[in-house]
Amino acid sequence: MYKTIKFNTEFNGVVDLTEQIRSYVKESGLENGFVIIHDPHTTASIGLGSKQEGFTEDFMLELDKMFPATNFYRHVETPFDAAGHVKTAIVGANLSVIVKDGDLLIGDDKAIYFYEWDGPRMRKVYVKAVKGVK
Amino acid sequence: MLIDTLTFKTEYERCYDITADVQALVEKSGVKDGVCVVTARDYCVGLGLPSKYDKKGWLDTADDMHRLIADRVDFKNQSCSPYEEAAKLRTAFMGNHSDIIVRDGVLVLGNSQGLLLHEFGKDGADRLIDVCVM
Repeated sequence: MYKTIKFNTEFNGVVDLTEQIRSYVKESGLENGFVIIHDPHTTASIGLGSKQEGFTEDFMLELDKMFPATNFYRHVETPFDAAGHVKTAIVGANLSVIVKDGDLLIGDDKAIYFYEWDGPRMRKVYVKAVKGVK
Repeated sequence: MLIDTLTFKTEYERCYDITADVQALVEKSGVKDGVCVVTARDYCVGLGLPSKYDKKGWLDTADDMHRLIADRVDFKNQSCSPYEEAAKLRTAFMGNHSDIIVRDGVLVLGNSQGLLLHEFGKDGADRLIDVCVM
C-alpha cells in the first residue's frame, strides 16, 4: 500500500509526522515489516529525532551554524535555497522505520520529523509499507 | 527479487548521477511494486538524493564538507592517511545507503531528485554499489 501525505510548512520549520505515519501503518494493515518514508523535495529532509522540548529548535540552529545561508554558494537562487540543498544532501531525504506488531519501532522518546530548510511551502512525503515474509 | 552490484570508476571529489543505472536494475528485476535498497560498499563513498540538475549544488556540498571536516594530521585514527580519514568522516555525515520506493516499476523520486554517488576518497577507484530490488 502506497500513500502520499501532504502538509504545509513554515519557513525553516519542523513538522512532526509521527502520528500520520502511525495512522498510515494501521490503515495498511502492516503487522511486521518496515515502512519507507520518502521526501521528494531537495530543500527539505526527513529524520528521527528526540521528542524532548527544544530538540528541534537546537537541531535547526546547529544546521544553520554548519551550513549558514550565505551568498557564497555556487548555486544561485536564494541563500536559504542554496543552503537547503546542502542540508538535504547531508541530513537525508528518506527513512525506513521497522514496524513490529502493527506499531512503529521507534521507542517512546523519538519522533519522525520533516525538516523544512526553506519554505514556507506545500510539501509531501510518499509512504510505503513493506510486509515481512516469514 | 534481484541483488546485483554496479561498478563505477570515480575520481576524487567528483559526483555521479547513478539514477539511470539503478533504474535499469529495477527494470531488470521485473519488480513493479516494492523497494530498492542501494548501498555503497566502500567507506569513502557517499550516497545522496539531491537535485540532479544542480551540479553547482553538488560542488557546494563538497565545499561545505571540506569546511566542516578539514584534512588534518591529528585524527585519532592514525592507521590511514589524513585524507582517507577525513573522507570516511564526510561519508558518515552524508550516509552511504538509500531505500527507495518502487512503484509501477519506477523509482519513486521527486521531479528534480536524483541518486548521487559522491566520491570523497581516492582518485581512479572502482567503486561498488550494491542494489537489492524486492
